[in-house]
Amino acid sequence: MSAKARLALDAALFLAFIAAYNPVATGIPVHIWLSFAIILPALLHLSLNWEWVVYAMSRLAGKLHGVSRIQLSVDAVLFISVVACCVSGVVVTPGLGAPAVLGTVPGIWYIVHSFTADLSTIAIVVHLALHWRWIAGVVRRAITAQRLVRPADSRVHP
Amino acid sequence: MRILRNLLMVSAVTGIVAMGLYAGINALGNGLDATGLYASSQLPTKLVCPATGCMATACHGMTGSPPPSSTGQFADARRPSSAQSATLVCPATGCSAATCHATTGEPAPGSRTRAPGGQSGMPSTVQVCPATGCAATSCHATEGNGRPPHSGRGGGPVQVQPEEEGDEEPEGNALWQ
Repeated sequence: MSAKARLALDAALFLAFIAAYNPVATGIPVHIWLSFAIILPALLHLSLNWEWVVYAMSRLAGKLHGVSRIQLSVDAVLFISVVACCVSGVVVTPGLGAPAVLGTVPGIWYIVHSFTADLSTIAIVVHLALHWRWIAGVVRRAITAQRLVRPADSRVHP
Repeated sequence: MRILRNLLMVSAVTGIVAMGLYAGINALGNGLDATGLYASSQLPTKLVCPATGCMATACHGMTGSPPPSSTGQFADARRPSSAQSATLVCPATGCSAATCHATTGEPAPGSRTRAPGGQSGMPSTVQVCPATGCAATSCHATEGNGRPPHSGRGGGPVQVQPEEEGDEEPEGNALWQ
């Protein structure tokens, strides 16, 4: 998959997440469906970078660049918070994970859903900031490619 | 092919993590239940928006202020300077819980009313859900079977406000009807 396609996927994922993060603006049905729709692209995003994750984790105890170490930590937080947010979202959704009657789900699930949604958003922003050079590079190349033909070199991991 | 293999691997890892988190959070909830930490920690987590499913404090925080009208919010407008420590705004109608209560009169049988915030001795408005008779602090049970298991917050005896005349209940009030 080209860097441009990956960036398009990531941008769509980001926008969808931001929309899903605000259920008041979108309404609950959209919030739920959007959240489910995000799952596959999110897994694809992770799959595309899975080899880097495995590589970084294998070198975590030994030699690993400081920035990569931070990236891996942020990614781990992001992954766990997003999964927890999804799980708690399913649990608190009436008629889905929860009974159709409100108030029968222990309050801890609402806390977790709210907290992990906030944490995920923060982690995504940090994740974006840490990969900003890659994003800017892909955008710059896409712009200049229209004027100048140059060898594609976008296989650098974000 | 490589992506497909990675996708399978990622899905498996995600599934395992999800199951682990589910078990962990459940255990945490049960542990808090057993220790009674919910009641003593004053977690303002019992107010759950019936429209969005999120906590009232979170919903309120998203908009910054209680909605004057229906916005799908369940606002928890705290007024510390007032004798009424918390005004719960109906997400469908925008009216306060006390007003909503007044439209239906007395609490339902089995009502468990409490003074909000544990202000013992202070005259307070009991914000009682007309559907279940539970107190406003446990409003997330308004469509259910009374109080949720973790909604206990201490408080002294309370006084039910008399019914107010002329309050009209707008339509679509899923929470307080």
